[in-house]
Amino acid sequence: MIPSKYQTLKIMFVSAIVAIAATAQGVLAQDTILRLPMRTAGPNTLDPAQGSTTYENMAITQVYETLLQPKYTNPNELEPLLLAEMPTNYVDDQGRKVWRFRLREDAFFHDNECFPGGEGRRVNTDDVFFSFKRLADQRASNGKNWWLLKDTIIGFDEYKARQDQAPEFDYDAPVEGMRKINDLEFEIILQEPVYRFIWVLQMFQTSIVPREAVEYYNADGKNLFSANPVGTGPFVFREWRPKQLFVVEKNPEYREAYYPSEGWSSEDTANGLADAAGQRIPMVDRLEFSMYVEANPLWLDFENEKLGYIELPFEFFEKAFNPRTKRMDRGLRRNGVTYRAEPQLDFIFRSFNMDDELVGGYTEDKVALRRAIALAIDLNEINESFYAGLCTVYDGPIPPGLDGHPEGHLVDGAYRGPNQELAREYLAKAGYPNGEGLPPIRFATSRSDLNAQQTAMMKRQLAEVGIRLEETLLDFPDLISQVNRREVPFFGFAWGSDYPDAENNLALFYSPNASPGSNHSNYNRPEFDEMYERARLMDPGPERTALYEEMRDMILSDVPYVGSLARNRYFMVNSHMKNAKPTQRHWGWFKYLDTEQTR
Amino acid sequence: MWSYVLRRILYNIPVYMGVILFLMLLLRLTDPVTAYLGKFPTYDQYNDKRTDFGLDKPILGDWQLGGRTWTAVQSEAASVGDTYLAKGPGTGAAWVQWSIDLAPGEYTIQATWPSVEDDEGVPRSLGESGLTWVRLIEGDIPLRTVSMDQTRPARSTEIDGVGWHNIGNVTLSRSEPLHVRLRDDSSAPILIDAIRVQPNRVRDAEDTPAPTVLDADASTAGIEIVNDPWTVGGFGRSLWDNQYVAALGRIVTLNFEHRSWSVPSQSVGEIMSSSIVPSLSVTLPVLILTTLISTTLGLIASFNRGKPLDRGVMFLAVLGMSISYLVYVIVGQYFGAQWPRLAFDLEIFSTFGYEPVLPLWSDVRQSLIDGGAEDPGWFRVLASWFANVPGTLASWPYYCLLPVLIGVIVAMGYDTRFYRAVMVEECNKDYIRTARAKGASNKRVMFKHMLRNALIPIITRVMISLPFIIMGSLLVEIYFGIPGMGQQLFAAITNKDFPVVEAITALLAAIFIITNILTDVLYAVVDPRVTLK
Repeated sequence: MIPSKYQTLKIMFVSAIVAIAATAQGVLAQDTILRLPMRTAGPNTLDPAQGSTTYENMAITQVYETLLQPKYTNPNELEPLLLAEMPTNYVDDQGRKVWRFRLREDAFFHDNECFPGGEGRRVNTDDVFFSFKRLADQRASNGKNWWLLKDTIIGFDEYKARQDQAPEFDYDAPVEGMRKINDLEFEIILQEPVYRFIWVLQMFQTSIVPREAVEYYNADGKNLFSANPVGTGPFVFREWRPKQLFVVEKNPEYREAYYPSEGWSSEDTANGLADAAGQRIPMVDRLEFSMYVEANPLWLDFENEKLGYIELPFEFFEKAFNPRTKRMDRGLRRNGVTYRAEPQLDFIFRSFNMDDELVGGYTEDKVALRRAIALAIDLNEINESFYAGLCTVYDGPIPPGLDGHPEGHLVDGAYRGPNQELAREYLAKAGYPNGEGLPPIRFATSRSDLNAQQTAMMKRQLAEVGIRLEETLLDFPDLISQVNRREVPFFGFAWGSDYPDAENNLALFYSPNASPGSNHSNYNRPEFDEMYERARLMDPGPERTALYEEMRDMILSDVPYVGSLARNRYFMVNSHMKNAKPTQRHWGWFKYLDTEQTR
Repeated sequence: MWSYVLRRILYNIPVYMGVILFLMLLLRLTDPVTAYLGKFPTYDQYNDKRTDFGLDKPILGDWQLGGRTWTAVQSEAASVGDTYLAKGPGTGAAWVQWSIDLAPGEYTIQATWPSVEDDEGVPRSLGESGLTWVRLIEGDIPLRTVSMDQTRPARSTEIDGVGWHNIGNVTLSRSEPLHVRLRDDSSAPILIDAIRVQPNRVRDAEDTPAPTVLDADASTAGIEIVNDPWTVGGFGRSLWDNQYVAALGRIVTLNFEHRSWSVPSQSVGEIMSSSIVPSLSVTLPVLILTTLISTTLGLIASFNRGKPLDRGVMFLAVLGMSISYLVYVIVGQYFGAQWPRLAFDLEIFSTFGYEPVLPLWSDVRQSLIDGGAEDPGWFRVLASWFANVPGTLASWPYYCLLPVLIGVIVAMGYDTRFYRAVMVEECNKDYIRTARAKGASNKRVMFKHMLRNALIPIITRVMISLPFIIMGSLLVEIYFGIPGMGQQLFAAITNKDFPVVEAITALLAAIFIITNILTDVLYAVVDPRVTLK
């Protein structure tokens, strides 16, 4: 029917009224809103199987849920999220490690048109297997995240190989290591009984997605599932304008879940983090993420309290903190701004090649030479000069916050500089009194202004005790390939933990990983290898921590590297964002936040 | 008049076709797929992206004679035997395959290709282009397909003075022959000197057997060299079935349905259409305001040439020109938006952010459907769209006025100087003196006589800035969070999002050509001395 002139006028009039009313009112006045930043252009996809960047993680984690999540009180520990309890494991009659899982009964997908009747259904075992299998499907995930589950579950790699050859990816074909018991219970059998598998289950790529949504939105070869997320999470997807805005709203039907009441450290309690204990989550009605490419508008929007929090851009550090006293700016303090420094799981070190004729080896004189070098280098000076003192200097290869990291970052008897007197003593023990007879040591690092300056400082520090350094700056690929060929005696490297478990860092000294593997120092001690193999299969606990410490001290005594440094992230929090303990380690913490801001 | 316009259009079509060809060649100087995926993609990833956008087809037909045939090259660079096999660029169905009978077990497959030492004694590969693919097949079951980067010399391991590249390990279980097939689907020139099969663990064998080296030579046993006869030395279907024709076809039919590589849920057309309005909502007002203000100032200054008013205007213009755009943006952002807020709690402008200034068609339609309309016709949607315009337009001053003001201040310096120079020229002409002699008022001389005659340079200047108003201003968009074309193109380039980059550059070229035609026509309209021939 073509509307008459009168009708058209009427429609225009009515819609004008509606439009004006809508703009005047905006979002319902009593709804609370938190505005949060994303640096760079933000996510490219909202499909967990395709995601990889931290911004995709940030967006996806609000809508989807994984089986496990890191605790808000302590991100180094896990707790069940979609599971009813922590998974248990046993060794079956064939000697294989089997993990047993039970899903919660009250986890439902968001209401969405992809479901019959538009009503979200309960999460079941098939959803879990479907979501894992999507990581194996080249078309679904672009092969980006297969590494997470590769060589892990029995029969899964063979399953992928078979499906890769098949014309159509068959999600219903069985995998030997994925055993369904009933709709809520299942078992997963591992190829190797390693504990780190559990950490994969909290990574956002393994979020549970409903098959209906994938099939509905990806019908006819479209790729619209990546823009229409349907999860079980505390927030429901509302709007995504790529490179500009991402909006989620409180899930009104979210299961009964509460703000953690136990496990807060005394520092957290003093910061008021435990005050909201026992309240129902999620609390905020609406989260709006804006994408900021430049730091300047980010800072301005934080300063005028539009944004709840920011990760402090390095160029604004001196504006926010007094560079000498490290105290926060008075104006910011007056506005109730607080900050949190979070140590990263960083291991920045300068490694020796233990196969090298000059600096390598395990005899007393060789060890003494390395100790002398370590004692002559002043990492604190490097930290103050190049990182505004923002790094943490620590002993051992285990970054701050993990089991096995020394208290106060110090280990008794570690060879940490600067101690020139002791350095000279060890140099003499090594057979080079005051450096006499010691040829220059070649030190290689990747080419950058920062590295060139740091190397110059190291060179000066070593020269003070009579050790000469001959520096080479290489492009990173060349550095890697020379290190892989064991041609460099001394070199600068860094390692970021893949998951918060010291095992990941101790693997850097496990001899089967020697170059071209990740053990670039080619450290080789059968005793260490034996301890590592034992620790790898152990569940977390004091026994494993004691073993980690023993391994750490063994490395510290042999000095296969000089270290260590870890960078810190600085988060600034505005007073209107409550319950905030910002972290980059996981993004599931927005559901605990509260605010009174309504516009 | 119309025949003139038609002639201008016809004349510009070949120009545009040439521009498109040039752009295409420029964007394909390196392989777009390896640029996006990096040097170590899997075969499936590589192949998906390549066929997705038709990048597997020749660009403009096969000009490379013999590009798809294998030739034996006799050279000292060959380290096994005295010849190696070479194939020029161009993809097709050509391949070379070695078949070898092996006992079940685990083997390492290696390959070598020729390299020479450069002046500094560093080995350099003779292969110049990106990735080559090797497929390992047991019997008739493909085991895996792996890439070889032939821009570097083969040197994973060195055996008897020959550097070998490790292709990969295979486990054979079926007592069927192993085929090592070098494929031709990367459009790269391919070189191959020899294949080496190193047994690691052989079942049922006392000692590990000796490795086998298979030369790339037609006389080697078990070698199969296949050329692609369909296109050898000729054009075949590639005359029309090529990337150039496909690209022109997309432009003519305005088909922008290709998926973006970096944001797969969006099509190229959606990306462009969603960002043109945000760009225009800043650049269009800037252009209009600057032109109006600058011509007026230029007129006034030239009329008062040498007087303090003229000096003052020129001083301000030079001052405006000499300060960087970025400074204006940062200072403007602080004093325009931040400072009133902090000092007086006045929310005049937003520092960062954007709301659509025009309603989105799909939103309007959806709200009608939500309101109970089954299938609203376009007329009804249009009516409702218009009704929504005042509401959305109300957000314009808050988000866009500040960047517009900054843009005007920056552009005004340049424009005022330019227009003043134009007007000064006109001031000295006879007709001005005549007009004055006839007793015309200053106002009439300025705005009636002079402005009319100075229109040609004004039109030229306005028209050449038209393409830029559609492309938006990257700096303003990034600092104010306006999701315009500038930001989209910038993001597409940094993400190596090939379909988006190609579409936007093609669009930009089209806008240039169209404004060119428009300028010619406008000249004739405003100036009777220009005739349409």
